[in-house]
Amino acid sequence: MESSEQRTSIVRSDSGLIAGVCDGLATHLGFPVSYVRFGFVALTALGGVGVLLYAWLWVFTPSAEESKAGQLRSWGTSRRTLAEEMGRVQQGIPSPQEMTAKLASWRETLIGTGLLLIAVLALAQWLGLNIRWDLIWPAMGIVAGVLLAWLQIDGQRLSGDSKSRAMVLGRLILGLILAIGGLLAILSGTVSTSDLIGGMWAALAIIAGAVVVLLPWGARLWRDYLAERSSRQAAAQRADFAAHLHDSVLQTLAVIQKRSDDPAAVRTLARVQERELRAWLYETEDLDEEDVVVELKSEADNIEKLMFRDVDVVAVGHAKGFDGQQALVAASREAMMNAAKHAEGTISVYLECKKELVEIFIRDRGSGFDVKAIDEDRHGVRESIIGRMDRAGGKAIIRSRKTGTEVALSMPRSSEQEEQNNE
Amino acid sequence: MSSELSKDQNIRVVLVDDHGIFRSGLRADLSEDLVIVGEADSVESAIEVIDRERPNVVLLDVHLPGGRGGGGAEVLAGCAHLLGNTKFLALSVSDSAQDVVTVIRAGARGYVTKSISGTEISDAVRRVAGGDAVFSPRLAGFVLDAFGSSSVAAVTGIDEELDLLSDRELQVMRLIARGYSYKEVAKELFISVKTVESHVSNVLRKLQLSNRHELTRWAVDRKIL
Repeated sequence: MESSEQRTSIVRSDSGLIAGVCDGLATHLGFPVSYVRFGFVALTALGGVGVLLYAWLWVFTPSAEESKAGQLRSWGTSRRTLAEEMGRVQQGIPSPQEMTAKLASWRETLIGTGLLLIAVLALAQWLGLNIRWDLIWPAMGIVAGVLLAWLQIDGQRLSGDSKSRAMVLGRLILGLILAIGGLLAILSGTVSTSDLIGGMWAALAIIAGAVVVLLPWGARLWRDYLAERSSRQAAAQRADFAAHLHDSVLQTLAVIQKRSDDPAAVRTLARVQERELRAWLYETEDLDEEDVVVELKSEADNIEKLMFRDVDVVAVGHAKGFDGQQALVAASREAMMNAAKHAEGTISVYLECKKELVEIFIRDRGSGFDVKAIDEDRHGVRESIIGRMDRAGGKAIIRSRKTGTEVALSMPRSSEQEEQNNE
Repeated sequence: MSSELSKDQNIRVVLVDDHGIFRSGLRADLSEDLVIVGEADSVESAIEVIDRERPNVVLLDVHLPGGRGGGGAEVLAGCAHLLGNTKFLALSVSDSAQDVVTVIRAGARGYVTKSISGTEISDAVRRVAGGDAVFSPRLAGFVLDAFGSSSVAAVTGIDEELDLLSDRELQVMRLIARGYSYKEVAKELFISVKTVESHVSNVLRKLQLSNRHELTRWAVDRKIL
């Protein structure tokens, strides 16, 4: 948690020993965690106040996850920039494995502490002190029961599969039995057993009556809550869309209106916006930044924006990290640039990643030129395309006709250079 | 193919698109010999108009309101009995794999994006009306991606007829993906345009009928089928 000038509200940390109360409180007050923990232990020693305070804070402060969810919810209804949006996606949520590892570690600590406490008490009794075991055992039962039940609230969501749901229910019932049993055991010291049993029947009757009357109300409330939650999610999603459309599409439309006298610019703006919007709406594939496909597409995008030209990229397969990838992408960029400068019409780019080699074809619809007649000083073609590919172990073939020029680039993927069999 | 049209006969076209602006733009763009006999803006009205008019070609938007939410593919399913005489050319703002493959598998004879020019779309309509398939570079790329460029016939469970592309078909697909027109492909491979057309039609049929494992997995990976 970052500490800011302004005091943050108490949020239970998800890296705490039991429920993160001490950790959260320490962040809130600006003290080291160990001090706060020691304070709670000391308060517990003074007649158990620490335990009550801990339980109280546990119930009434939100966990880090809940607070994050709350932020997300309010986030959905506010407008924000694309950068913020990206940041939010990247933050993510801690992985479940990390969480379970943490749970396991504190559980061990807790059990150890409890056993140590019992040992100390036993030692004290052996030394002659009068230990009220008839109070301590029930008290421990109550604490264990409460822990068992409450940890479920933080740990799992009820939406899990039926197996984990059954486990949650089982633990809840076990915790209930432990806590009630403990309370009854303490009471049995002061109330006679027959009274206790009679009282229990009475209590059961009261609970049963209350359940019968209140159950429909409870169910109704629950349904309302679910409906409210889903409608809030839908609203957040709508707001999300509205915000994105505002940031991207509306801005672009405004720019298009301003530049309406320049057809090439309008066309390109529309196209770039279309791509961006489509990527936002449909892109589900995880894109690897280093993939040659991604690199080539981003180069093509740059040329579209820079030269106001259409570049159509068709890619088959994926490849990354092969020798000469950089040279291949750089040569493609150069070829696309040449096409954009010297030819009209759409530039077609085709990329195919085969097992043994990666091929890129860049085709334009210009009037063509004589490849043999390129001047030595024309660095563009001779150096940046042919020379670059040769040095990296690849091959560049330029074919030019009246109907257009095609630059064919190929780069072997394995170290030994395979003979390319494309005509 | 089944319904060859004589040269002087006008091609009757139905436009299906929910955007009025786009429909009017397209009406103005299409060349003279294409007669628009009907328009529709939803799944239900499209099926009704197509059933009534029995056009040669339907220009079908992939994303359509109405019906059970199936869009263009649902119109194709609803007009399945007409597929022999009425050809469908799918249109979309999007050239995403989802859209393309769904309508092609539902029976469309081709696919073009809405950014295509008036001349190009008129050519595509004529081609589809003549029984041929219209492959964009993007669609050719999808085919190469889905069928794999290095098909191994030895793998069991592959129906050679449907699940493999011949070397020639792969060559044609590659050239189309590289941005070559049918004419340019024919010149490049020293074959006639008619032969190129028949290769492309074969590929389309395979794309529509193949149950090839890789195709299914490819589609599932991209949440298409």
